[in-house]
Amino acid sequence: MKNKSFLLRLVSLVVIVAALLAYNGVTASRLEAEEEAAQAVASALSNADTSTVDSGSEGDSTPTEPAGLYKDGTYEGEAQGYGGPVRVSVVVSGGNITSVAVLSHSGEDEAYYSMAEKIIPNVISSQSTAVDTASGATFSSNGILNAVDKALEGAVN
Amino acid sequence: MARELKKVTPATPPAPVPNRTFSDYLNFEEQLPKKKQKQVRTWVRTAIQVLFFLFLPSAYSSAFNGVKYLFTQVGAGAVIEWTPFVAILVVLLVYTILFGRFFCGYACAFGSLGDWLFALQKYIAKKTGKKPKQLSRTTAKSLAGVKYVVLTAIVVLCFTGLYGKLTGWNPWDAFSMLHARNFRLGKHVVALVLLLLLMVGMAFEERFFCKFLCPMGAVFSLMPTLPFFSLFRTRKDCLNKCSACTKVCPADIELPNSGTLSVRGECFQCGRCAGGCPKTNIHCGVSGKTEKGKRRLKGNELWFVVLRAALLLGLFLWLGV
Repeated sequence: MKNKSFLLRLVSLVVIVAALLAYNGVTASRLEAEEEAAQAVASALSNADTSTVDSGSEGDSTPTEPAGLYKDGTYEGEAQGYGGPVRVSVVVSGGNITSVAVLSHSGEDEAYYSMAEKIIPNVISSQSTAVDTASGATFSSNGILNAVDKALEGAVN
Repeated sequence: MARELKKVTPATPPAPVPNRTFSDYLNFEEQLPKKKQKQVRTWVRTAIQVLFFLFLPSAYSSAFNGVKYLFTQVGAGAVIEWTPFVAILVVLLVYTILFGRFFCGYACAFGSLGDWLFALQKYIAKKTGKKPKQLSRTTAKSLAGVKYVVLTAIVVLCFTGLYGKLTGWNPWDAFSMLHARNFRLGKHVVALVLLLLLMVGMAFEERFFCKFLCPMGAVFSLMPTLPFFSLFRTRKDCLNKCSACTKVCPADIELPNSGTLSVRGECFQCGRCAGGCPKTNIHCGVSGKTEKGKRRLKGNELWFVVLRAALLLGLFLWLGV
């Protein structure tokens, strides 16, 4: 069988690709279903809540609550990425981090940087730089996170 | 007197103008003497390697990050997204299925580093007259299996989620940090030591890392490479007991006979065998059945090398490597 090595490889590759695609399809629909279930639970809970603790939710909306850790303003910070400094600008408003913009990242490889920048929404949603780094793009991720930390040093209340 | 006259006369009639075709111009290097041909090929290859080394050193790690990402996601039960790493991996695998491991032979920064260290060692050995001991070819062949163990180990670590917890050991990280002139290697001492050990290996055994240890190389060599641009020899035309191609091969390959679909996953497409064959009997599968006397694609033509390199470069620029 002189063609065995080729055919064996071809079949294995097709099987692996098919398995990954099938896996992805199943996982995507499973995660979607889980999310829907979680949303249904959350909305049921909040419906139950509104009737009983009305006064409490009013208290939440007052602007004087100690929501923010930081002073409002725009801050810049810089830290070492993979191949050079990464500069970011962080906007704090209402005491919260509302945006993180990367001003320069000239030393980062493009593919790595585009993976690393995906962690920025996590920083904003968790209001913290203690988020997971993008897998495979640790250096660039840490560059962004450390630069945000540096920027926020000047914003601490 | 007569003798002198005779010497002058041949110069007077105009030299016959060779009837050159387009393909003669395209393959201009074949008109050069054999030694010069070899030099030109070496220089073109080195130039391509330098170009990729300087400007696209991370292609290898990006593609392998794609492999690690796939298994990390599956292990964590998360969806696989079309990230830049996955895109680079898929494109590079398709390219390899079509052209073989041209990437390894011409574009991988680690492979090029190995070639240069080995060339340096050979140069020093020539100057000093001391030849270091070589691994026996049977040992080399069995060591080639180690890279599949490395690949399996990394894949398992990714799948179980342990890979992310290991830092500071990856020699490629140390290499890429040094390449980016980032010398904060405090946390990467182990990686640096491993890198230095690999470099010693690279200097004494040609393509040490690629042949024995590279997990991406293991993935490449498992690909069903199509026969069109893979190398074959027409065995019946070979000189009796000649093994010039295997002797000159950095991966010790015995080329398959033409007309088969045999895959030589260890081949880096360096093309040295095609140049070294005394019968010019090595050729790509695409033209395996051409009648005798007609030109066959040998795989080491300069235009074909440059074309493949340009295609790879274009793909990498498009993908933003």
